[in-house]
Amino acid sequence: MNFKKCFLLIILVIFLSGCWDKKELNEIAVVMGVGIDKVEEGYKITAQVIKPPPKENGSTSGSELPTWSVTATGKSVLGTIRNLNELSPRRLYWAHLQIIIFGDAMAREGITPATTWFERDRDSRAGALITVTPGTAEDLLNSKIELGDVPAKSMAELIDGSEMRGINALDVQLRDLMSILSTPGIELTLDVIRPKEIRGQVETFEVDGVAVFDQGKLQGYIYGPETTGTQIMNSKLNYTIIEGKCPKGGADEVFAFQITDFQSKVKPKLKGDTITVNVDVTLEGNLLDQTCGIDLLQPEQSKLVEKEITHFIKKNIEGEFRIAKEMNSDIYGIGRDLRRYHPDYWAKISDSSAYLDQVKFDIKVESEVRRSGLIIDTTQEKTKEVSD
Amino acid sequence: MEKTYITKIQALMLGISSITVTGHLLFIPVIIDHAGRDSWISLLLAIFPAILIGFTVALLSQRYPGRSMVEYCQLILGKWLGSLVVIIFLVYFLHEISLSIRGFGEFYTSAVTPRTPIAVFFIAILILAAYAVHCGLEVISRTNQAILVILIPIVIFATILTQKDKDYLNFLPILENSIGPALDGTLALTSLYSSIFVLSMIFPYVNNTKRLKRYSIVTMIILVIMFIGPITGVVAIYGEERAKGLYFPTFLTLRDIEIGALQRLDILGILLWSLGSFAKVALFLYAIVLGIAQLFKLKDYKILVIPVGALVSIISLINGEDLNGIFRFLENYYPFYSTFVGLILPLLLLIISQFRKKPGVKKRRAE
Repeated sequence: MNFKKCFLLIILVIFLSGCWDKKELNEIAVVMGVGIDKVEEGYKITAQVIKPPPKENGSTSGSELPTWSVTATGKSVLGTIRNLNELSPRRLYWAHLQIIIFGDAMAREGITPATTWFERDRDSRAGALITVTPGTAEDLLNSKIELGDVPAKSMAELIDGSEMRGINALDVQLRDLMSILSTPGIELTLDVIRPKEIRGQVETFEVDGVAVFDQGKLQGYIYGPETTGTQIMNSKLNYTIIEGKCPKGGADEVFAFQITDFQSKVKPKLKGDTITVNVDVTLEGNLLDQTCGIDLLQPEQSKLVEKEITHFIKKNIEGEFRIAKEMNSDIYGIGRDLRRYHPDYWAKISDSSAYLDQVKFDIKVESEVRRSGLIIDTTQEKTKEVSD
Repeated sequence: MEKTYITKIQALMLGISSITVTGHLLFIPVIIDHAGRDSWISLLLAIFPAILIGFTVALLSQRYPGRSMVEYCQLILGKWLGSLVVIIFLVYFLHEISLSIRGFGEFYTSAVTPRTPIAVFFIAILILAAYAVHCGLEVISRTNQAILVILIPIVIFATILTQKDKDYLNFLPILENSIGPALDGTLALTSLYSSIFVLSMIFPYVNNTKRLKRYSIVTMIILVIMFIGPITGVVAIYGEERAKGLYFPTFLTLRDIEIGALQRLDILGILLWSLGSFAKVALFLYAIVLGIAQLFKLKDYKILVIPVGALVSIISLINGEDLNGIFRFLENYYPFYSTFVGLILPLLLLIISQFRKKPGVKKRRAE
């Protein structure tokens, strides 16, 4: 019996003595963001790691970044990371990676060869955001910003919180990238992020525009209001602000409308060789701002407001599609939808993106102005009434 | 040999946990590789063979009450031919257990702890399982009961949490390449369910075999239901093209759950597969050692536990060069081989036993 107990004890000591693959916190460098650029000899990877906090009595110099960006070059991503590890005294740890940024040159060359390692590595999460910057990713990661200590984290927050702040961002994660790139009939679109100068020096980042890809290669950028097209088609336009011309107002009098409920259904219809894409949009929202002094909540006025919103949606769907068509890119995934509903037809046309020329849109919008914040008539109207 | 008795439900619970775990861990990619976005059709079609398997196993045990597969094979086919068939079954069990241990170890080394040698996991799980087998059937089935209470909520929980990322339009178009791929998927699923034949070693110890057929058919239907979530989920999240060619798609979907602060739930998957693999390894190890003991008329199976356990760990190491090799085997050969051993052979046994009358059986026993 005693022998048995001793034996059990030995076994327990062997198996309960801790972890085999342990990683002590003071032996790793947590990578928050990574930038991938194209250089002559291959890839140039910038990894942004968090610096361990200085000793407590040390003076905390506020301007110094608590991050360190380390850069190395190599022929493949993993090879470059090996070279990075030559420079970093601590082992790079990828499990907290928030954002992967591709420089413009890299993206034009094609991003798929660079994502393989991130897909395969067991530490990296498929939740990392993927973005493109028009300059180089190295410069972007090294820019000093005012709000937030860690640039990579600030960028991730800028995109993650886009819905809450009512701005447009596509929020493409590694997982989405994997499935979009492997699905025929849909092309990738990514957020564009760049350093923003305020008062002559870089103070923050800006998320604006859409990078359009074809077969994983960057074709060009789309800026301006048209960028909402992709989100409309993907039913992701919630909480965005729409501006429209005030009915019966002057040329620069506008209203601003916040969407609180948005849904769109896309279904392609075939007639001979023309592809009609039916888009049914239903949206609800609040009229929160206006520069014109008319009561826009009057039934006849609100009809006009809804018409203006309809116009906005139609214009942007068709506008973004037209720009992307010039780059031969099917950003709305019309080919994918065609394959779902008309597989026979898709089998005939899937070799080229020529089918994009036959696409016509049939857009139906049902919009509803639900609320207008806390007040009904604006003060602007009241002042007018008095002065009359 | 053993005097312990377990209930019907305990026996069937053993079957559920052992099949679910290998299925979710190793077999989902195989089914998706075969059937792609039509794998849900494969699953629907697999209900019929699944019910057939459950029915066959239960009916054979009912026809020879109190006798295990080893004993009734010899009764049905005679001593020599019967022994040959028994050996086929035992080798099948041995292969099955080594595959699932290998899958379990490979999962750990490629997804969780890459620097740990794979043998560590083999040895750890085999020591646990061997101890459980040494303690007897009642211990195995009661442990499994406790495990299953955790397992099933995890599966349901995972299905609900991944709901947000699912796009069921990914299932269109249905049957793009006609029904062929879906039937391949059905065959793969059938082969997976065929390993429930291991219960033929357990059923003799069930205290009450009344309505065993009905129970076992319900079990098979539960098994089919347990696969709806993972099979449809993976395709709905990744789309067909990406879902093909992932090693552990169910683990990936679990790992990428992000709902507010609720993220990094990989540990749920690891828990699920570690506990379930334990149940499966214990059940199959028990079946093998008991089978060998009965075949060679040993008094006690317990002395066999450690040698067979060691053998299993060696076979697990040599039965495939790498994870890719295991998957190729599971994809190309396993469906035919396992369906033949787990479904066709028992069906043949059932048909032959139909022609042998019971009195004849008694005479043979008297000899």
